[in-house]
Amino acid sequence: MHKNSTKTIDEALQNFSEDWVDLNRKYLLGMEHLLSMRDVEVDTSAKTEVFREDKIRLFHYEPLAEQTCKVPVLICYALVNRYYMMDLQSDRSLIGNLLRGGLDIYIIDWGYPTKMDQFLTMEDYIQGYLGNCVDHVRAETGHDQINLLGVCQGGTFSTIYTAMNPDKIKNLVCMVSPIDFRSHDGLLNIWAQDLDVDSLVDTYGVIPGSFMNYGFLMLKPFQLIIDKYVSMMDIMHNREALSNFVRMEKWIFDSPGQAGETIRKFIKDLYQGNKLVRGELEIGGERVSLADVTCPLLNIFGTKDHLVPPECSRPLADLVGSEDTESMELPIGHIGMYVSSKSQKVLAPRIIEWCTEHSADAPDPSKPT
Amino acid sequence: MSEDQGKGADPFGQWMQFWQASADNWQQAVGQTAAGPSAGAPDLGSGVDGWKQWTDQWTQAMGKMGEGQPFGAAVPGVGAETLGRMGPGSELFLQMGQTWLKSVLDAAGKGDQGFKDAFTPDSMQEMQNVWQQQLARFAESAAAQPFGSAASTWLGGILNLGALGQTVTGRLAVPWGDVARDLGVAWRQGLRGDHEAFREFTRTWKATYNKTYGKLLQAPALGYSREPQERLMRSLDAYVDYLAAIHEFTTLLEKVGRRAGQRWINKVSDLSTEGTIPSHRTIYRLYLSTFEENYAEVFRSQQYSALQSRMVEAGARFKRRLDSALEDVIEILPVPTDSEMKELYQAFYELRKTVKQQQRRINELERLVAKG
Repeated sequence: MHKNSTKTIDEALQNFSEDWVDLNRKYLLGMEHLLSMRDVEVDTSAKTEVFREDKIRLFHYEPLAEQTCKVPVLICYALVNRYYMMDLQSDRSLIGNLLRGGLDIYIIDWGYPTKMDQFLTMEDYIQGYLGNCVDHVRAETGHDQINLLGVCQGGTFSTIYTAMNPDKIKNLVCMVSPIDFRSHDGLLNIWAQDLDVDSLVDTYGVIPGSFMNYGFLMLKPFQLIIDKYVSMMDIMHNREALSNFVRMEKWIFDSPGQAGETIRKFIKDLYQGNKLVRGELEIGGERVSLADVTCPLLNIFGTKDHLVPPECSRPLADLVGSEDTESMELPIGHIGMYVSSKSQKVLAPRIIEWCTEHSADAPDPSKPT
Repeated sequence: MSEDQGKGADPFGQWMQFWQASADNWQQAVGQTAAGPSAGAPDLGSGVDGWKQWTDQWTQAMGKMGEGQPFGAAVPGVGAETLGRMGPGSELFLQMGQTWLKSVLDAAGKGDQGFKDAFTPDSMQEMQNVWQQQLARFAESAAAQPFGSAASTWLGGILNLGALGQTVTGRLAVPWGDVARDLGVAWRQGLRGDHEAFREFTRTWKATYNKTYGKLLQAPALGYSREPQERLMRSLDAYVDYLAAIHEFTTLLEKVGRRAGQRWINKVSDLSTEGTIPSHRTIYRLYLSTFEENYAEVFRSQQYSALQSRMVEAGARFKRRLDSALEDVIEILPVPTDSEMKELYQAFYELRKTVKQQQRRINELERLVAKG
């Protein structure tokens, strides 16, 4: 058994030797697991593709329980990384929990932009693809208004969309979404101030996912580049734990490139100009005002989030025009928001409850008005 | 050469005969005027005197070389008379070496400062003037008449051109000489952990590069291949800039690493002095937390953000320029270049957008028609 400190050198060496042997035993067992592991399953909740436009696909999840929330929920994930983080492993799936709680869920898969997509703008993504997905869900379900759940950058997009199309959104849920980009704590916010995004976009067209990953790893290099793999040695002998580790690893480095024109505007207008909060953001020539978001809002963020610090998300409730707002702070980080046991116990039930309550007065589309 | 001289002559035999006799004369002359190793090479160990002795021998030998030679029959105008004049002429030529050697030896006696004082731009110019005059006199006296004047002009011109060339190439080399000592000092200090010295090294190196070889890479290219050549040169220039940016960035990281390492060691020492020995895992945890904290502190600084952005921008610029240079190669292959594809993507994007707008209008019209 490992001890944190010892009294004598002999004892210290004995301690080290025992731990060394144990760690190597776990490592070898883990290697056997890795060698027999073909691939790990992610994104396992059953779903059907219901709409496709260019590289964008809209999926509809199969229900896992009787629908308790009258209005469907459309999940809009970030362009950075893949949506299946919310359905990474079956026993810790936020989407699985939401489905089991009686929500009717649609989700957007933004796909992997290639150089062909380098000219796509934020307008194309928000008013185009997101708007078309919203319209498709509205048409398919017969609801004039649907619930929109935006995650991370997808929350920023969802907020902008709701401000520009308030008649189509019944309720807005934002999870770990950057809104106020003036953060003195967030390293991404600090670094973005000096970034010459024009040069990057003009060079690459589509900013490679590997470049984005470099930035994320540099946020906590010792934890993310060294300790993560050292700690893995301790759990390698456990096949299930190792599988979960590999799942997370797959998600982290499964990073789509970023359409140049979109990330150019996102960095310049939001990270550098903070135009959304200042009421100066324009999408397709139209000014976006957060005050135009008048539907009920549930704003969820983590107090230990190092990617989107809480001060970037928290102000949203005060900036929108909604009278019915709720902020939910959880003592977890960005990734923990999707997979931690705490979020599974607290987050999903609250989203289900809130959406159900706030959708109760929605008209039944099957009955003529 | 007259017709009679040419008839039945054996030019090759005469040539060989000339050199054989010249060699005999040279050997005889050297044997008469010198003894010991200085006959073949100047005795530089004796300084200017050794050189002087050697040049005297050389001059005398040159004067004797042409005596009784048949070479004039093979090459008109070059014979005993010419070679005889080359003797004193060569003395003038050798005196130039003497002038230079004297300057070097004087400077060497005064150490580093002596070299700096002896080889100032003014003193170098003065030395060149002396050399030029000596060379002109040598050419005039050595060359067969009536070519003395032309030879003097030609050789003088070469020296002038050489001086000019030296000035031009000096622009590439001299600034490096000026900063060589500073660079060496900064590098050594940097290796001892002086972060600012490392940064100073990079800044000085880059500034000197910009004044020297950078100009060479940035200069306009000429001729048939000027366009691809210029693109290649620009990409090399951008690569150098990228390397400098990487060095400056990693220098900062290295500084933080040293500081964090010291703090980590201090923490481990503190734990050890409390009467217990920390376990390897405790030491590892301390390592992680100490390094992470120290780096996080720097990552939040404006300096880090600026250096990181500069490195990223320099890398992007290098890639742009290299891509541009590579396109020169790729465009001869039966494949589309990136630029061509970019045009196509843009056209396709705009077309797709137009089609979607038209489709939306059609749908709207159909809806209105359906409503009646």
